[in-house]
Order: sequence, then structure tokens, then C-alpha cells
Amino acid sequence: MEQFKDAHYFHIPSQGNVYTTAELKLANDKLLMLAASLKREIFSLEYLEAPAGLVPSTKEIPFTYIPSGAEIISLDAFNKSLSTNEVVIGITIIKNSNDSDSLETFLNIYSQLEENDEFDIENVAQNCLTVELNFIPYKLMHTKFQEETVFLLSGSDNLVHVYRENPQDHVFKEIQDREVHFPEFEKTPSPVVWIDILHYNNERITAFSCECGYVKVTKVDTNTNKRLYSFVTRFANHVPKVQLYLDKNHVNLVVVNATLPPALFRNISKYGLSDYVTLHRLDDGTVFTTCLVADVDFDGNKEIIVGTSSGELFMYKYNETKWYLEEVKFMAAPVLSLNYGDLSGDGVKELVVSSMIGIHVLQHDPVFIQNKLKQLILQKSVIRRPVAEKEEEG
Amino acid sequence: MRAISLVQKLEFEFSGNIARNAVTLGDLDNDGCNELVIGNDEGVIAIFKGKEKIQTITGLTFVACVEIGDIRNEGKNSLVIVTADGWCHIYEVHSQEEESTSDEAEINESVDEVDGQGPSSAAATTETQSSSESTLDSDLKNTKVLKTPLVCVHIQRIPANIKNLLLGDVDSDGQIEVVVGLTDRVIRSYRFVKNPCKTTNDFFKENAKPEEKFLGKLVAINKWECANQIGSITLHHSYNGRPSILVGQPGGTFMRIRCQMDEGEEELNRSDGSNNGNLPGSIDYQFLGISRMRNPNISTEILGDLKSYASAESVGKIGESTNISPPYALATLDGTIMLVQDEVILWAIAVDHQVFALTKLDVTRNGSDDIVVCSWDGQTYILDQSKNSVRFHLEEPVRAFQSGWYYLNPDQPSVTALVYVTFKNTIIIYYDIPLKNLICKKFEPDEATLSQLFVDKSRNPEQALEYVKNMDKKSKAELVSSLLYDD
Repeated sequence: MEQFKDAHYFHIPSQGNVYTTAELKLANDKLLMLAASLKREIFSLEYLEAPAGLVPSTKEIPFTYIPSGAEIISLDAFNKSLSTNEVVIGITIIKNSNDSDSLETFLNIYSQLEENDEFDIENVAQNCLTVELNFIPYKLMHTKFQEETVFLLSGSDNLVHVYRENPQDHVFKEIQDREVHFPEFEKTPSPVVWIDILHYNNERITAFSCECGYVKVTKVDTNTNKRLYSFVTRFANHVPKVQLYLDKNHVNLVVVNATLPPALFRNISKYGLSDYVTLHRLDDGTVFTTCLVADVDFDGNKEIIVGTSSGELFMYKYNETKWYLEEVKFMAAPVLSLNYGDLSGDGVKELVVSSMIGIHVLQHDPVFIQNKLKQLILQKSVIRRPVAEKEEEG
Repeated sequence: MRAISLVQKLEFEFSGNIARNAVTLGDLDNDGCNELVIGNDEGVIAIFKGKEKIQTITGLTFVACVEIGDIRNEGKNSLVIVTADGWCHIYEVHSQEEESTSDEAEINESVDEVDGQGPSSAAATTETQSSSESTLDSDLKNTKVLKTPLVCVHIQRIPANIKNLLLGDVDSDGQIEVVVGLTDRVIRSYRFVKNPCKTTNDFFKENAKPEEKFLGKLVAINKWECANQIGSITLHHSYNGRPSILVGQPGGTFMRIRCQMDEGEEELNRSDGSNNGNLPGSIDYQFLGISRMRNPNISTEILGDLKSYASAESVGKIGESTNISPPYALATLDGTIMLVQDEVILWAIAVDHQVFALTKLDVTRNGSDDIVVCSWDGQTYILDQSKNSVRFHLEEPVRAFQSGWYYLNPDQPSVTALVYVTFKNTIIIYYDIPLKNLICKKFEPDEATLSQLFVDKSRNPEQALEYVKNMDKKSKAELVSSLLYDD
């Protein structure tokens, strides 16, 4: 991660949590980061283009129906369409009323009323639909479901709830036949902390982890809603994140355990949760909070970056035989979540680290990218050349 | 504005009230590595090197200013401490290896400027005992870092209420002078005049009383009075290397003192025979016409001699432009930061914070000094000479601020450092500031590299390059993205 350079630090006045950042991709391929803080402020972070370079911009968005005294638990956003801006933003809040016994929790869903090419997030923030919850919300995320995008929300009632938009009246409602459409979400022993979903052909692979360390991976055929396989394992303690990823057509799963070393389960479709390796931990003094799987050095193999509560980022690399700790990078504050997206709009993704004090954007070193591009193009032309020659022969 | 968060830091405990000029970075022990020196209102001086405190000097009075420089003109640095009640202490590291060389230096140096008076009586009457604790600590590590502790080599009474201290050659005679700014609008300059009979070695060998073995004394040269309160004083050189003292005056103005006269004048004076070392200077006030109305009561910081990459480059290019002076910077408490060259404001920016400290440091290591300013609430702005800026916020009020080069380890190269003295009795040093560039740019792929992808039957390399050049930014970004991220 030596090649990552500090590009910008967006300060956030009060701390967020592992659920309070969301990427939002707009129709013109522009990427925004939304970040919420405990004290009700929600910021939109983006890069504006200026002749001299990139100008970072932070805007506080006044979302309606977030009463004073409420606290934001989780945030998620998506764009329903690929070509236009049909943005939907979901925010879960907890309202601490004067009567200390009653905690009211809500899922607020914000969406743009009319379709408009001009995207105005403040416009979206004014159009709110409130769903009252009878549980304490945890992770809010979205996924594809029958050509639609639905919200998934895990809660303190040990269930995962699915909210789907009614196309007639544009109202989000919890689907009642969840067991039919999402057979993987059965009642769990403790609240679901993290969910990751991978869509793969006509199959949906869902992994989720619970507060108590229960981890389940299920593959569902999305046409028949039949479970193709389901594997369960139990870790000794809290599992803050599970991440599925495809590597050479194998489905792998990274399980970040709070106090134990992260575990990587390989080729789940073939071996279930039996073929695993653990990633070496540097010390036992910190809590692992999050992870990111991406090829950040463009060598064709994915790296695993794990964030910790003492503000470290560990990068693990695979060297044909084993996973090893390649590098440690220190951040200014405990790491809450990691994203890898092209905020700058130049084709090269940035590593976006959300920490207790704000959002840190780390940019790839341009010289490094330039050299990598040269290498990649050379590799491509080596592959292409024999083909071209053959064509000439023909 | 771009902002950064900093990670690498050192924290030291140091209690007491710290005057703004009582913190400095410099090479005390002449080993080529900078140390951090800080003094407080209780007369305690702490010296930090690398990751530890190496010495504490106690028993002084309110430390108003500390500075490191070759005050005795011996080719080695001393620590100069000026207290608010008007005591000037000079501390030095005396190393055995240096003895032979320093002897030679002593002989070679001219000592013709000595006048016959003995050490000042004030220095003789009061003996401020300064004990150095580091040897008593019997901390092996400490003694390893600093073989010989700093010892006091000179004490002298000078006027009280000094708030600024500058060591520099203000009259271009090749000798370092001491310039002090007082709270009563007075600037004074001194020169250290050596006692020809004493050498550094005598000082350490003799058993005589300290006041008898002083190596010389500070002799007053000049006194100037300013119209208004002094913000800060700095040394500046014009294009022809002529020095001047710039004194920050309220409302973003300054007074310029030239100690060295124009060549013509100098000769005139010499023929009069009136010139006996006391060079009268020329003084002018600069108001720097700026459109924005400025509050005349607002204090001003000034900093001269900014190394400029641009000017160095233009000098190389065109012979004529050698008469461009290096720029200097001004900052006012109301948050205006200006870069000025030859009394013309190159640019000015206004920030919403009370800027109290103005320093320079080549943060990006591009050969050109950047301006580093800090406000009372910990907002730090790093500005290059083209007005690009980066912000860093220490989320804590700041008592004193300094920037410079620091050494974590004598074997490692120096690192950039921002030194904050907080109100919580800590010194925070952020080191190795990871800034290569103050502007954050989009990645721009090399066109020649990309064009290789488009060389085929229909396009030769030149046409392919032309094709790539004509691509719009978005499709270029898409191409880069697909090359990097698509399998």
C-alpha cells in the first residue's frame, strides 16, 4: 500500500459506524460517497473538476424526517437505473424519546419523485417515506431481486427483513413471503451483523454473520428459489464482516473475526466451509473490523485488506502457495469500513477508508499506475500479435 | 480545500506556559541532526532528540525566546536563550574531538573588533545556576545520544521584555548578529565580541569563576524604534544578496531596516571617518497596497527569504531576471496570508481562523519553500508559492507552533516535522508529512502508451497516437479502467 497516497481527508464532526457509509453511482458514472454521523449529519462527498486539479467537496444534506435526538444507525443508497438517475437512499434511525423505556426505530426511504436528468440530492432528501420498525435495525443493504432492487435490513429480532417497492404507488413495503423468495434468511441464533451477496448467473450466494459468531453461506437458485447448498459454521466470537468474492470462477469467502485471525474459505461450491486458511495476525491487541478484497496492485491476484480498531490496514497477498502479510499501513483513527471506487472519475479507483474521525481517500500513485498500464498493454499486445499475424495469413 | 490527516507522530510531556518563540528546531550539538528545544515560564528548557528527551536545563527565569545559531561566529551552533527579564544565556556542547580544530579556528579568526571593557557587571553579580540534569539521570541511552551535555558558556544581562530573537548576518559582514524585538516597540542588535585571551578550551579547563572566563560578550550595535507593536522580525535578502530586517507591524504592514548601506553611502561615510563599526541603517515602511480594508490593530507575522523554485529556474533561463528578489510571506491574525515579492503582493488568501504562527518548510521537497501557518485552534495550512493549499487540523488549541526538519534517528535522513505545543502540557510532533504534491490530480494516462493498443492494420503508430489524443476524457478513463480492472 506504499503506492497509495493520501489524497484527501473529509472530516466528520461526530463518529459514524461500520454501516454509515455508502457509495452512490450516478448515471454519468460519477461516484459519490455518502457518510452519516451519529449526530444526524449526513454528508455527500465528491470530487469536482477544476482546471488546477481535483477539488474535494463536502456537502451536508438536510434529510427530512430525522428528528432531533435521533441517531443514525445505517445508511445505504442505490441507483435504480443505469441510464438515468433514480436514486433511492435508505437510512435507519433510532429515536430516543423522553420515556426511556421506549425506543422508536424507523427506516426512512428517500427517493426522487419525478425522473429528472439533473440530479439533485437535496431534492431526494426532501421526499421521504417512513417505515416504522419493531426491532432495532442493524445492517441496511440492497440487492437485486427479480429485476428490481430491494432493501435488506437485519434486526435485533434475529431476522433479515426485505423491503420492496410497490411499483404502483412507489411505496416500500416489507415482503411477507420472505421465506419463499429468500429461503436463506431463516431465524438466526443472534442478530445478523453483516450480509454479503454475490449474484452469479442465475444463482444467488448469500453469506451472513451473526453477533454470536454464526456464519452461514447459502446458494439459492433465483428462478426456483430452491436452496442449492447451505453451509453453517460457528466462530467463537463476533464476526464483523463476511465478504464473498470470485477468484478464477471459484467462490471464496473471507470471514473477519473480531479477535481471531481472519479466515479465508476457498472454493465454497466444491469444498463448502472445509478448505480454509487463516491469515496471520500481527498482534492480539486490536479488533478487526472490516475487510476489502480487490486487486490493488494490478498483478492479476486479489489482495485482502483488513482494517483494525487501532487504525491499521493489513494487506495480505497470495504468493502461489500461501497468504502472507505484505504490508501494514497506519491510519489516523480506528478503521470502520473500506471501499474501493473511482471517486476521482479518472478510471483509477481510490481506496476510501472510513474511520472514526472521517473519510480518508487514498489515491494510487500516478507513476505506479503509469508503469502498470505500460506492463498491461505490453502483455495484451503480446497476446494480440499472433492473432493479427494469423489474420494476415488468412 | 484539500485536507489531510496525519498519522506519524511523537508526543512529549512538557508542562508550563510556553511563549510563542520559545520553541525551535536546530542542530545544537553540531552533528548534522536537528534537535527540538523548548522553554517554559518556569525557566525550564527541554531538549529533545529523536524519540527522547536528552537534557533538561532548569533554574532559568521565564523563557521568552530560544534560538539556535552560530552566535559566537565560531563555525558551530550554540543555543541562545533569552528570558523575559532580560537574561541572555548561551549554551554549547563542548566535545573533546573538536578541541584541536576549534583551536585552529580561533587563531585564524580575526578578533579586531574587541573593545577593552570587561564582562558586564550585571552578568557578574547574578549567577543563575543552571544545572544540567541529563548526566545525573544516569540514563545510559541519554548519554549515548548526547555524549556531552550542553553547558552554559555565557550569561549576560540585556534589556528586559524581549519577545523576538533573530540570529543572522544582518549587515552582510559575514558575522552573525543578534537582533531582538522588545514588547515596547524597540529593535536592538548585538554582536558577540570575543575575548581574545580566552579560547573555548580555557573555558573548560580553568578553575576560575565563570564570570572571569567568559569568552566574550554581546555588544550593542543598534537600536531602532518602531511606530507600532512588533509582530515578528525576520531576515530577508534582496536579489543582490543585501540583507534587511523586516519587522511585522500591525495591519499587514512592515518596517524594513537595512543595516548595510548602499555602496556609495558607505564610501561617503568612510571618508568622514565617522564609521566605526556602528553602521546606521536606512529604514522604510511598507504598507503593501491591498484592496481589502485591513484592520490596523491586527498583529502581523512576517517571514523572509523563501526559497523559490520558480525564481531559481527563471534565473537559469534569463539573465535579466536575476534582479528578482526571493519572496516573503505575511500573515495577519485575522487570517490573511500573503506572498509578497519586491513589495508586490503575488497573492493573498483569507482563512477563517486566527493565524498566529508563520513558518516555512519545503514540505513537498521540490526545492521551493512552502508556507506553513497555524492558527490558535490548530488549523494548519500548508501553502506553496503558487497558492495551492492543503489543510491539516490538529483538533486541539495550540500554544506554540514550529515547522522544520527533524531527525528521528541520526542514521536516517531528516524528515519534515510540524511541532505543536498544546495547552494540555504536551508537545506533538507530526513527522514525515506524506505530501509529494499539494494538488490532487486526476490520473492522466500516457498517450504514447495507450496508443500501442490502437496500432493495427488500419492505423500506423502516428495515427494511433493521434487517435488517442482525440479521445475525450471519459472514454480515456473508461479505457484505463477496463485495462486495470477487467480480467
